[in-house]
Amino acid sequence: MKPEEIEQLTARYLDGELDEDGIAVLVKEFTANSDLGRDAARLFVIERLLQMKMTGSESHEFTAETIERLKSARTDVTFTAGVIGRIRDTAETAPSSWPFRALIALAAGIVLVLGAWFILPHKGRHGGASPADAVALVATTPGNTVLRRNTSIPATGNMTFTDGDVLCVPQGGKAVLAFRNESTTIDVASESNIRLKFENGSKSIHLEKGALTCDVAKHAPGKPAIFLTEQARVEVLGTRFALSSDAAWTKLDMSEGTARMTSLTNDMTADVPSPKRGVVLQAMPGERPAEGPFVGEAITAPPDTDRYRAIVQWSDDWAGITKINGVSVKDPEQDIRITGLQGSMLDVVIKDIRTGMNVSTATCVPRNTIHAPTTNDSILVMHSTYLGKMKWQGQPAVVMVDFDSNVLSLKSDHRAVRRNILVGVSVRTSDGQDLRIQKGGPAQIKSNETRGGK
Amino acid sequence: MLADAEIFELTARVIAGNLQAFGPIVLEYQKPIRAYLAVRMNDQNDAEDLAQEVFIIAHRKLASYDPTRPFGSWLRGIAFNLLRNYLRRRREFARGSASELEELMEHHVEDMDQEGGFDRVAQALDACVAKLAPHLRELLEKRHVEGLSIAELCEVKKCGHSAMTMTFHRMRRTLRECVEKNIAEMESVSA
Repeated sequence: MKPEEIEQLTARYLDGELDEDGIAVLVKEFTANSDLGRDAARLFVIERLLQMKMTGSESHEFTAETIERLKSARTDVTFTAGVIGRIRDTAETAPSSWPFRALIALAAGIVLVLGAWFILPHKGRHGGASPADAVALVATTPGNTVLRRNTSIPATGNMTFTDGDVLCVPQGGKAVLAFRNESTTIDVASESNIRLKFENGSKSIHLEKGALTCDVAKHAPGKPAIFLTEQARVEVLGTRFALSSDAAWTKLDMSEGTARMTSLTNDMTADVPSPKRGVVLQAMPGERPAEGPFVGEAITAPPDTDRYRAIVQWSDDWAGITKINGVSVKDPEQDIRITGLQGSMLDVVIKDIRTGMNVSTATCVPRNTIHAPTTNDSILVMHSTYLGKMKWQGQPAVVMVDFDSNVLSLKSDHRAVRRNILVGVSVRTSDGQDLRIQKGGPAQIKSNETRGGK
Repeated sequence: MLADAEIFELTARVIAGNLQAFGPIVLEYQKPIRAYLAVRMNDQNDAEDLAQEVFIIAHRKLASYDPTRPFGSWLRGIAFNLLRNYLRRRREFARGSASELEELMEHHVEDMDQEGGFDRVAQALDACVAKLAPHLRELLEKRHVEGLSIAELCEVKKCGHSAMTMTFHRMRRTLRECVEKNIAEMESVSA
């Protein structure tokens, strides 16, 4: 048969007008010549897609209809679960009309319970009923592990957690945890470890290192979800936030709602609302504990981050107790290392490295501290004690400020430091000499010339 | 297009009980799945129902999805199994040469699917249908939306039967050439 004739038969088939004999001819021809069959298949595909396009619903309609069907499918599941639950309840509570049978059942029950008490490791010996079953690993990448009773096991999808389990997500990995009885989800980032604790019917998530993002379902007042790091405790009742931590600090970035952040070092507490950031700092050896949590504006890196340079500094860096990080980074937030002590205002500045212009700034302010901004010609005054090492004009120096008693001590090889003071303070030099500095007036602070030997 | 990380996050939210998070997933993947089924099934209403069934099963089995695999492939696997069951059930009723022809076509259709997927053909077809003259688009609507046969179309349009079949024949050829051209252009752009 000629190709044109086959083409005509194919067209008649697609028109719905080819009889059985004609179809049989096509079958025979397409079987004998697969090129013809392949050619016709293209027309078949276009015809069917044309039908779909003309008759099918639009994408959004299809999606909405599917979601509606899913809702009813869920209802079916709920209904079935409800029926099974009722059957179970009925079986457990069914009254017996035969007292003797009830007695036997009771006796058998006692024997079973006692047997179980002695034979099985019962809950009472292990700290009470655990709601651990309520937490499951719902998504995991290969390489994630769970440390369970000192044994590392591969993390698998839909895995259920038990008390004390540590989920370890290596570099490049990620995982999502969900609570079965509530809509809380926790996204665990790469290079993070989290430990799950279940005590007295409540749960806590300990972020041992790394970062997580959490969407916490509404909790009843007085029964918050608790997140712990080395430095801080975060209590939430229904929020969205990101929490990250390393050996020196904990950062909490709120995107919805409010969380209560407490420093584990000094029990100071701050309510951190969205879109603020809370920071708790770990005191370094020899340093006083930070007064935090510091609460400030949360900032995000501009999308074109290669162009920017993140600069983190304490605004009273004239006292020199904090470091200035001027680091070129992909994500400025990841490279912030805060080593300052209490009582400082933390400025985070992102600069466009080409123009030198500031494109974003944020300030973290210590709570319960009265402060004034500092400039080159003024100093910050706070109600706190302040101790640290500094470099002043390139030379080592030690400074101590007790703002409660308006005393500042400076121990330096430099002979003089000149400042205009916004608020009056007293200054004690390293040799014990007190100087009174008046508000608004220029002052000269002299170190002990004999000690410096210069 | 949803990135892997977005799929990962959305699936996690769905598993955690957030049904609305499944919406973006359906919206993203419905077209290729509907096309996959539509080209293999005669009854387009059945194809649409089965496509919805794919997502309903996917929703139920989401916890078993391995996030290291492409989500689209996973859905197609579900679609393939559903289609196989559907055809098995239908085979009891569909006997004779028409079903033989469809089975024969299925091999070629499968090859075409391996080559590029029907979502690309469907995408190309959208643009080609838009280019058709208004009277041809009207014919397509009457044929596929209103379900008129060639003979009924002849009555409505007051024209001869052979003229109508020739019109459809030419229109299919035009569409096929247009689709192939569009796909070639898409491939050259992506290359």
